[in-house]
Amino acid sequence: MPGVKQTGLNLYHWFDRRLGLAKPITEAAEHPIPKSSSSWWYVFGSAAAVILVLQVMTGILLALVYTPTARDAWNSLNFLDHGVTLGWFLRALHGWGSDFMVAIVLIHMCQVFMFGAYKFPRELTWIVGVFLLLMTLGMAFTGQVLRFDQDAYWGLGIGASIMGRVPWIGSELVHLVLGGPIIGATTVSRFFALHVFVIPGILISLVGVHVWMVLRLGITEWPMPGRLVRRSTYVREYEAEVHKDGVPFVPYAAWKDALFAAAVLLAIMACALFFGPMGPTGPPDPTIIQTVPKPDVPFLWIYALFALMPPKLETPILLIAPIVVICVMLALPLYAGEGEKHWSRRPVAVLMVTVIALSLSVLTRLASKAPWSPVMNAWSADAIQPAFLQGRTPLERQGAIVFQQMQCRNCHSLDGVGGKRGPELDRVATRMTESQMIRQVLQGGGNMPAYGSALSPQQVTALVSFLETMRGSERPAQVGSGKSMPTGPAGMSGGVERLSEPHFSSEVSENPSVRRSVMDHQSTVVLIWLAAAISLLVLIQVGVLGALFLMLLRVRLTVRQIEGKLRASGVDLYDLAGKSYRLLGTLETAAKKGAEIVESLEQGLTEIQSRLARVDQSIRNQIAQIKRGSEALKHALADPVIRFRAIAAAISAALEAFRRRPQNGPREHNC
Amino acid sequence: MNDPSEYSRRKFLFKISLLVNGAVGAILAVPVLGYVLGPILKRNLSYNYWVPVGNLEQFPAGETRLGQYRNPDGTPADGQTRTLPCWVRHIANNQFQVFAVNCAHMDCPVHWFPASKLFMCPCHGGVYYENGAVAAGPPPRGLYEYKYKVVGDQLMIWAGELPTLSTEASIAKPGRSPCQG
Repeated sequence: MPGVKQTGLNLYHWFDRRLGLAKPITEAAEHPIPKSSSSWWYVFGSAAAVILVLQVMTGILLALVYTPTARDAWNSLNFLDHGVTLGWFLRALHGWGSDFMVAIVLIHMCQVFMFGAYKFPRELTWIVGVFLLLMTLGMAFTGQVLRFDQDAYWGLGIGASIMGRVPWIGSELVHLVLGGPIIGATTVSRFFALHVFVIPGILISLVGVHVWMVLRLGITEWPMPGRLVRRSTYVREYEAEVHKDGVPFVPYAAWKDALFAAAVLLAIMACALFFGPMGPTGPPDPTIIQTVPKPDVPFLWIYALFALMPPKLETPILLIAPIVVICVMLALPLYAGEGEKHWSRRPVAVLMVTVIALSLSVLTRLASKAPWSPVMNAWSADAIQPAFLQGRTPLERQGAIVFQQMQCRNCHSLDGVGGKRGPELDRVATRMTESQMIRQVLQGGGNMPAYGSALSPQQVTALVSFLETMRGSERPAQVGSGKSMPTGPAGMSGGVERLSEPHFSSEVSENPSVRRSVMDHQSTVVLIWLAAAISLLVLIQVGVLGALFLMLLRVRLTVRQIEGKLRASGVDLYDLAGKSYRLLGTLETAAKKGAEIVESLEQGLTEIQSRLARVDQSIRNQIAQIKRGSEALKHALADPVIRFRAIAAAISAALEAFRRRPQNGPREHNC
Repeated sequence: MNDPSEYSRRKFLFKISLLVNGAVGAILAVPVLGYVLGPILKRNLSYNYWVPVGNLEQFPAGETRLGQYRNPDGTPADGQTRTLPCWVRHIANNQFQVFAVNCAHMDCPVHWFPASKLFMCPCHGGVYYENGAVAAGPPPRGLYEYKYKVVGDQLMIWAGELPTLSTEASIAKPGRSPCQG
């Protein structure tokens, strides 16, 4: 094993000597980030990058089988689903991965916006991010086209129709998008090139630039209220924070990114497994017109907008709004590159995100229901309920059949069954008189076609009689109290009279002012709700801002009052403030100096203490030395003293003996 | 090595090399752009041809039926998309109106309902009368209409381009009053 390990190391060193990537990769992985940034809120960008890798991988695998021609694309998709092992799962992964990628990129963008992370010095990171969003949406749309089924075919028609609205160069743009005058082989191969080469190339390059800037400029710190971004100080402050409180990206934050990316991948796999691949719907045969085309989820809100916008504003909005929105997004960091980052100090930003998210959600939800579209098969698919026929006269029963056969049901519902484009007709007889109903059927108006040429007088009578029975026991509408109807031409106001002359004039229903002025009922309701919701939000926000403004105004007024009173009493507030400020400055300087003195005193005391300690120690050492010397001296002197004492004692004994000697001899001599 | 004259000569040569590369790039861009912009460099008129929609007997008088024609500019690689539909209204006595199936709002396919004599669009609720005039909904104009002619027992239309508001490929806006039809 050690041999294998050594071989591995040798290989690693062999490559690294030539590539030299180990060091920069390690440095990138361990680049310091603010400790506050190792949060779960910072995981969306890396998750989007991981999904991009998944999309590239599954895309390459699908390209092994997919045939990018108008003739064979649909068949190859079916072959992938049914003839290739796990082909359906790969398709499902790619399709769900696309939806997840759009969602995660949008969430990432919201998070960056709410955290003010686009501000200095990360403006270009945001701008590149805007292009990444556009490229992601471009991938979603071109991918939908490559799933070349009925929806894709008619979706291309919608795209061409939008291009066709561009003034002056509309036809050129249509031909450029379709690769020719009509949807065909060149269209599919063109979108294949866009989806597989052009957009991914741009996307991957921009991701590289985006990540490079994230590494170079550092991950933004967790925003704090009151901590303003200033171009002059931000970089220094950020570096100081990272230096003081930073942690390496790997492993402190990376584990959260990795875990979230794994969770997202699992979610994509789960969706792919449980819901399967998206489409293909019917074959892309334009002669099969019994189809109800709808775009994929990321574009449903646009589909709803087309139905709800006032027709006259459609083209200007379609052509101008996207450019304005993109320009605003690009200009945002350049306009608001400094200042507050925290969301609690940016109410307009919070309001914008809320309104946009709410609007997109509501529009997407509406588009999934599409109440503005007639239910094309309601007249043949939804049976006449027996209850509508029981107890009715033959004429009324015939009216029920007319209601069914004339496709009234495609737009109007009875007992909740049928289209939602027009108002439900259960209680129409309580709102309109018989003659008003007849006129409405014959002449149309209010966004309803005129049926004058399609219905015989007898059919109209039967239809109205049937609708009269639907009100049950409720009171019928009174003349003059019903819904106001569009005014018909002179001499055509009486419905009964019109019955005797069963041709109709389209002038009323075709009159643009009548047709355009009355929005579809459902659309109007939806628009009103949407407008009400947005207005409510705006009102709340305006209220909050207004209250804040009033509070500030109040504070300002109070300050002015105090200022006036002080001035009246001879006190100049500004002078006082200036003096106070200077005093504060002096006090601050004094305090700083005091602190310095205290610090130096402390240092001196410490020095003295240490010196005293050293002196004390040396004295102790000297005392110990003296003690040792005296001991040694004592010891050294002890022996001579004893001897001296012994000699002294001997001398003393000798003297005593001499004194006690016998008294002869010498005494005589002395005398 | 630091001779200023040598330095300036090299600098000059470098600039020349940039200029040459720029010129080569510009020359190269001509065919590339010509290729990419090919679809729009062709004149519009050349896209349309007289194409047969079917025998006259396929379109009984007083009725509106779905006709089909082959894309005159198509190739075998178009597959099913090469055959295109249109709504043929035989008014009477070989007087026709031939409509594109594409709604004038967003090009979705409109359905014909003979009983109510209406074209309805499934996308955003556009409705047209039998003569192609707008009956309800958001379309900014009536159904796109092809020029037609009768050659023998064949009905021919002038077609070949996807109709949009810019590429109408039509004779005109449809008649103002269905009564005239």
